[in-house]
Amino acid sequence: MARLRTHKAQIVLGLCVVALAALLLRRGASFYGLSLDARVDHPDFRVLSPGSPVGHGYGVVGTALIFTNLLYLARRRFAAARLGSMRNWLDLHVFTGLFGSVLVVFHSAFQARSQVAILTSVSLGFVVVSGIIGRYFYGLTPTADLSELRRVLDALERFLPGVSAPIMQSIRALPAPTSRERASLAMSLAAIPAWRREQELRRQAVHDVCAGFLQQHSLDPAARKETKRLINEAGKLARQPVRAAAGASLLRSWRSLHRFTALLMILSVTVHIVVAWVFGFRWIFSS
Amino acid sequence: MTQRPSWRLAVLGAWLLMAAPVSAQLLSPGELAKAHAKLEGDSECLKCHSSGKRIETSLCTSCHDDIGAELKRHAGLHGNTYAAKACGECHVEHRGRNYDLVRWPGGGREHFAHADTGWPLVDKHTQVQCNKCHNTKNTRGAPTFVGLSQTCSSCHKDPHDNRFGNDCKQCHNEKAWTQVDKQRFDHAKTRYPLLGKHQSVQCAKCHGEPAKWRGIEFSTCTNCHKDPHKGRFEGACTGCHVETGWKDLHMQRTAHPGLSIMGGHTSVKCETCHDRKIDEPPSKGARCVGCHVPVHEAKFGNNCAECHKSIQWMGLADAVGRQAHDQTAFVLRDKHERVACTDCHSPKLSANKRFRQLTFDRCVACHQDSHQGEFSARDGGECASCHDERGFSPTRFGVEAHASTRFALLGQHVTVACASCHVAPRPRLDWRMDKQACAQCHENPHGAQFDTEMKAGGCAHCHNAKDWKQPNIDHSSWPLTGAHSNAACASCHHVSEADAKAGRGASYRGAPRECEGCHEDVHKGQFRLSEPVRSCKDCHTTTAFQIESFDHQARTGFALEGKHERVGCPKCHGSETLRNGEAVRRFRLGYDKCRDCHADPHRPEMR
Repeated sequence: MARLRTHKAQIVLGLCVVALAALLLRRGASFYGLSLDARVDHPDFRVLSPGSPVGHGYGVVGTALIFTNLLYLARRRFAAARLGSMRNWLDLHVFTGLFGSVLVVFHSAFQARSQVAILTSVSLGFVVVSGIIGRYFYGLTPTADLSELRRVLDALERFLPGVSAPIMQSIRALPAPTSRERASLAMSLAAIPAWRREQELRRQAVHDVCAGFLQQHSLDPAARKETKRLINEAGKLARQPVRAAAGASLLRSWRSLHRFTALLMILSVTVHIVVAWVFGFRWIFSS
Repeated sequence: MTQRPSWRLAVLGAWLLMAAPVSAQLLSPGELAKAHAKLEGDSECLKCHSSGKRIETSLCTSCHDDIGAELKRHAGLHGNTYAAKACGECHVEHRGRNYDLVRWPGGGREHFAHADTGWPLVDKHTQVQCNKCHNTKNTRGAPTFVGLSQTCSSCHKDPHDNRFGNDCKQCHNEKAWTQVDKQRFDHAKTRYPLLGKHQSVQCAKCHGEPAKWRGIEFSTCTNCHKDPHKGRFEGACTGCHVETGWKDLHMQRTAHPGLSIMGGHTSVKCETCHDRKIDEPPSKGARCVGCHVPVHEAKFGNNCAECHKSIQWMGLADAVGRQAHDQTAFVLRDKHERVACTDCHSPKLSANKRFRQLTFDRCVACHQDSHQGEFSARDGGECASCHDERGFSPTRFGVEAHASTRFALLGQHVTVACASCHVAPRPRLDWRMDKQACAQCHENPHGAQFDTEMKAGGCAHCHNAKDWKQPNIDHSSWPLTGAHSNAACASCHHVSEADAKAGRGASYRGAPRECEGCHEDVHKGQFRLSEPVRSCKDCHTTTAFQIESFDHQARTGFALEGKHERVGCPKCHGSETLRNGEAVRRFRLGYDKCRDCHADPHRPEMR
């Protein structure tokens, strides 16, 4: 149920972002479609260009959202303070990141002409894409919880009594999943084959123990079929701690890249804002 | 595992490399247009931008001085229609090298509303190509549309050589050069102003039909007129004739050769002088005395015309009369120089009496005696003993002359205005005064204090005319010594309440003779009310209140010895507050033992 709600929220969020983009695009389609030269003569030049009231407003609101987005970092940094649930903060992080990015893109009027603007655009694009991918990874990463495995093993006990204990014993006999705390993204990616092997070992351990029990017990075809399904499911769930460790390690290194590019973006945005402010481009506060 | 920042450095490097190829343009939001290409580069931003002002107009006009001049003069397109706009609003920059900075209002040069420049194009000007007028270059050597003058002559050659000024529209309009508004045309500005009868002549009479406006000969009258004298008279027609009329006799007389026959000569018939033939000179000669009797008997010479230039005997011009007046017995000086001639030579007098028989030997011949004979006995009533031609006032009767009267002016009296003493009611002040005593003019501020002295010699017994405040007084009964010699009288002899009540000045008799009578006792009775009693003089002198040398032992019986010699007076003689709140320094201490001042550190309990 919780997963469904999460998916729904993600869809609604995605639709909102698309709707905002569509709305702004509809408002200025005739302007944004023109060449740099031709835009000057367009009536919307004094409204939608980056230095004009509305175009500049997009930039101001978008930047404000992006800076709000950074509060998530603070929440993570000071996790002990427990200011709201991390999930809600992550939702806010995603929401402000997407909406802010859309507004900043419209602020640039789809033309990054200064080098600072180009750097900002590239950084912003990378941050957004890496954020979306990271959020996807985050959704895929399971917890290292074995309670589900135990539930399946309990079900398996009906057909193969006494099978649970040897399975758990053989899994525990395997080495703990490899966890890479400070690995770079490349190193984490390089470790994937090792994690796959560790998963296979766990799955194999489940199947090996169950194979012995199946030889000792004669089951009718229906029971055998159900038993095999449960054995397969138990094999999958036995891999879960390795998947969780691998996912967490990948997410850590991915987040590190995401955060670093975000800092670069903030740096170039700050340069852009300072330069604009110094030269008098102060939106509604211009003299 | 330790964190290795190598990948971060790589990303940062790649990020910065994006800017590297155009490192000089890190902040610029795009290439500048061709005209501004030399301003390219991040270090050049402040050539156009200034802090907080986006694009500074004054920075633009520092190069575009022609535009700056327009803005200053509120002239042209920039100074009229776009005066309130910033340059960057129309001339958008950073749009690329090939971007055209000039965006013609209306979408193109052909749609440009020239009226926006403050000079609308009408009629023929609408058909003229832009570059016919706008063919100048600005100070940067680029073709420019600005800076043209609105005067016609800035584009058109003036065929009139500036004879009619530069306001061509006075006669011409923009429809066609040849459409001249005759009503507004001022012939007076041509080389041939129309005078007299020429003003009523039809244009076509001189300029022909169709009209020919240029190349008309007009240097001599015969260019248009026939000579009725058939060349008998030499010289130009204007020697005798004028434009007011061929037969204008009055003007002919003006042009009479030799001498004018205006004024008195106007009624003289030509034959009276030209007694032989009209075109021959008079037999009596050309000099005035040939006809006129020299009434001045050669006093003013034989050249009558020097004064009677305009051929009028009477009523000479004032300037002429005044100039010649110096040759008469009555030279005009000072105020007489500005008197109107008719004030003396009254038109009411007959011509004989008005000039030659005018009486002027005495002032009263013209002036009224303001004193009504008051001084008739003095100098035979001659005004000149007191007055001269510079004016009735001030008079020549000064301080020295006043000494000849019974009251010579001395001291402060010298500066007193005459009218202060010589008041009305005589016709012009009362010059004969019987008052000579001081009290007749001055108020006695002493009341009856000095009646005896007043009887003996009046105020002069003590005072003189030089300065009232420096009386000659014998103060020996109470000698003024020391500081008293410099003190003002009023500091002792001041107006008391009783004096004020009696309405008199300060009392000089009965003034206190003791110090306390005038000076306050700063010791508050310390030396008056306790034994031994001391008078002020025992310690102080009249020279200064401060005691120069105080012999402490002799005066108090307490010798200041040893360390006591160096102790400051206030250490023992401290300040105390009396019951009435006044502060006083205590000099009479009343004790002389050590323990009176000092604490006993040895055996305090033995005290």
